[in-house]
Formats: sequence, C-alpha cells, structure tokens
Amino acid sequence: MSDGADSFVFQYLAPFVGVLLVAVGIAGAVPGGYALIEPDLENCGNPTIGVEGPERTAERFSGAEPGPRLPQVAFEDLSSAEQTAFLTAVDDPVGEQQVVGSVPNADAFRRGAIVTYEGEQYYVTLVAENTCFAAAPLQFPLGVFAIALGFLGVLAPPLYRRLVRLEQRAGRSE
Amino acid sequence: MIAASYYWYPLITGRWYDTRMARFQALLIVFGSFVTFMTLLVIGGLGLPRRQAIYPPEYQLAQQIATVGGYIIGLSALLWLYNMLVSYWRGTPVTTTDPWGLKATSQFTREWQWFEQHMMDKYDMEPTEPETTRRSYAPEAEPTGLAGGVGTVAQTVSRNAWMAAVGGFVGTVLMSGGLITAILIGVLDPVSFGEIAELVGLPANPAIGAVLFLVGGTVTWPLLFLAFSDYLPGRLLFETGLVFATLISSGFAIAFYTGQSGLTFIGYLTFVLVSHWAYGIGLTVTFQYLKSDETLRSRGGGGS
Repeated sequence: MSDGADSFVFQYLAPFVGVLLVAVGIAGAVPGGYALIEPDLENCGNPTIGVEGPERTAERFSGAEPGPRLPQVAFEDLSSAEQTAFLTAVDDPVGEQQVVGSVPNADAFRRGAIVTYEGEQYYVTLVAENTCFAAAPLQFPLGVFAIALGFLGVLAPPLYRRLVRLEQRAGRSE
Repeated sequence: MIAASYYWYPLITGRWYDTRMARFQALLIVFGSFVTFMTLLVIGGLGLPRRQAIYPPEYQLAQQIATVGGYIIGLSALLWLYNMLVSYWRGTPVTTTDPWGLKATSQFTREWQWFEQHMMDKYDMEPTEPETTRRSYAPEAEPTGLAGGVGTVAQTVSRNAWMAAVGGFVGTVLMSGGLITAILIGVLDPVSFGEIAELVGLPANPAIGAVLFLVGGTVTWPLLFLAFSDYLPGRLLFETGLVFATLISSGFAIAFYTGQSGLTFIGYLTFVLVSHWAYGIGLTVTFQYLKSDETLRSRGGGGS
C-alpha cells in the first residue's frame, strides 16, 4: 500500500503551483482591492486647480502682443464646486485647491483660463488630474480566488495523505 | 484504415513493420490533413464558391497552402505503402502471442486469441502472460455472486450505484458553490443554465436547468464515472475522479460559454475547472467514505 502514499503531483507540484498562485493572487488582489476602495479613501477623480492673483496674471500676459487667446470665464459661470475651490485657492499660500464636485470647465482649465472675479482677472490652470487608480473589476475577486486556491495547493500534501488513508480504509488502493 | 492496418499487421503477416517510420507517417498525415482541410474550412467560411472549376483570385494563396498539405498527405500515404510492402519481407518476425500487451488490459479479443493459438501451433510458442492486469473498478475482498459471498453482482452494482449517487450529490453541492461564486462575480451567465432545459425540450428556464443540472450531477455523471473509472488514469480513486472531472469540465466550458473574453474568460475557465475538481473530489471522497464505512461494518459483522 506504500505506493499510493507517494505522489509527485500532490506532494511537490501542487504546493509549488500553490505558492505561485498565492503570489499572483496577492499581486492581483492588492491593486484590484485598492482600486475598489480608493474613491472612499481619498478624493480621486477630481482635479486640483492653481489660481494666480491679478498682479501675477497681468505680469504674465502684459508683454505678449497679441496676447494669448485664453478662454475667458466669469466667476458666476463656474460651478459651485469650482467657485468654492477658486476662492479657497485665492486665499491659499500656494494658490492651489482640489475641486470637490463637478468640473464643467475642466477643459478650459487644462489649457489655462482667465477667470474674472470682482472685476479682476485671475489665471486658472489645472495643476493635477488626481486620476483614480485603474484596475479591471475582476482583478480583486479573481486575485482572492487565486490566493484561496493557492492555499489549497500548499495544503495539498497533508490533504493527500488523509485521502490516501481513506482510500486504504475503503480497501481500493493497491 | 491506416490505424487498422498497423494494428492488425502483426496478426496478418506475422511480422512487424518499421514502427518509427509508422509514427512519423502518422504525424505527417495528421499534419497534412490539418493544413489541407483547416485551410479549406477557413476559406469556405470566408465565402469560397463550391463546385466551380476556377476560384476567385483572392483565394489563391490559401489554395496553394491546401495543395501543399495535399502533397504532404500523399507523401505520407506513399510512406505507409512502402512500409507495408517492404516489411512484409524484411520486417522483424513477431515473437510473442500478445504483440500489443492486450492481456494486461483485458482486451485480448477473439482475433488475437486465434493468433495466439496459431503461434502456439505453428512455432510452439508459450502464451504470453502479463505481469499485471488492470483491476476492476471496485475489487471486492470476497468473491461476488457466490453463495456465502457478500451478495450478488446486482446487489454490489446497486450498492455502488447508490454510494456513487450520494457522492454525486455531495459533489454537485460543492460544485454549485464554485459556480454560484462565478455567477456572483460575473464570469458565468446563469442564463446558460436555461439552455440545458432547452436541450431536453423544456422551456429555457434557468431554474429548470439548475434542477436538471443537479439530477445530472447526482445520477448521470456518477454512473458514467463508475463505468469508466477503470479506464481513466489515477492510482487512487480521487485521482481518477480529478481526471474525470477535468475531462467533463471541457464539455461544460464549451456548453456554458456565452462570449466571455479577456480576464472574464480566464476567470470563467478557472472557475469551471476548479468547480469540477470540487465535484470530482466530492464524488470520490464521499464514495470512498461510504465504502470504508461499509467495509468496517462488514468486517465487524463477519468477526462477531
């Protein structure tokens, strides 16, 4: 009956493949899981805008003849999220603030736009896209599955020995 | 025809052909047939008109490839003919009464029995005895069907069938866990279960399909497994069960495929395979558990 208790596949190959599966599973599940929870952890998907004050804006564009043809946007035409971010950025020492909410003027900001606020012009640009980490939706569940399957593979030798004992009790193994 | 000629050549001529050349010839004809007919299949699908003496010029390259394949088939046929003819005079004489080792697998059929008798009569050969013979699927410690044994063959078969059905049910439940998970994460479409119902002429309802799936997993597949387990690889029953499950998973993968691609397709195949392994393990381990239980009871009963 000793021949039944010796199997290359279940005693060596299965644990080896199991370890590989765990490694691949971790590599898939960790970024896949992070992509799922990232929107809850931080405000990804919303860009950060940078606002330059009236003096810097005038200084930047005064020498250019003819001046750059930048989109002109009135403060009142900004969305409420953009307005909030604009005002916060004006008071911010670095002059940057993330927009939390809809950004209908994102394209204008991406190229650089002049926002007119209380009669003065502010140069507004998009300084960071803050894109969310992208991963395939199946990456997390398949990664977890690979880890579980890998653990089964690692546990294959003791399971195999149990099954061999069962077969011997049933009187089939030779 | 070629396979049959190789198989019965020793019986008909009493000589061996060049087996190395025969293997090469077999590979060559498979390759040639593949090149020829796959190419024709593909260009047929692309719209090559049938029954016309000339074909549109855009199919020329493919037709030339198919022609090369045809020549390869012709070459392999010539090799076969050469091997058959030359071996008739130059082949090594057969020195055994069982050239294919058929006795070891209980396939020593009538024509080979005739051959054995012929070799014994003509050359005074001893009948070949194999070192081992394949066991039956559930060898009994005691003879079956005899008075004083453990029961008739019918009783043994029905007992094994009952245990296999219980195993099949356990396996199907385990497998369902995997398939339900696959449905939940979106790699398996439950609608495809409706197609099983359609196959037997019932409405295409996934619930009816699921019931049929359970019946198939409990009755059909376990009985098939009992019938074929002896002819499948694996020293232990659960190994045989894993092989069996792997084989039937290929049919499932084709039947339940609903156009998955990319990562979804990989997930689909993985879940199908692993779910079937769960089925094979559930089926065989339950079977052996019940069998070991029965063995214990019968030993206990015999001893008292």
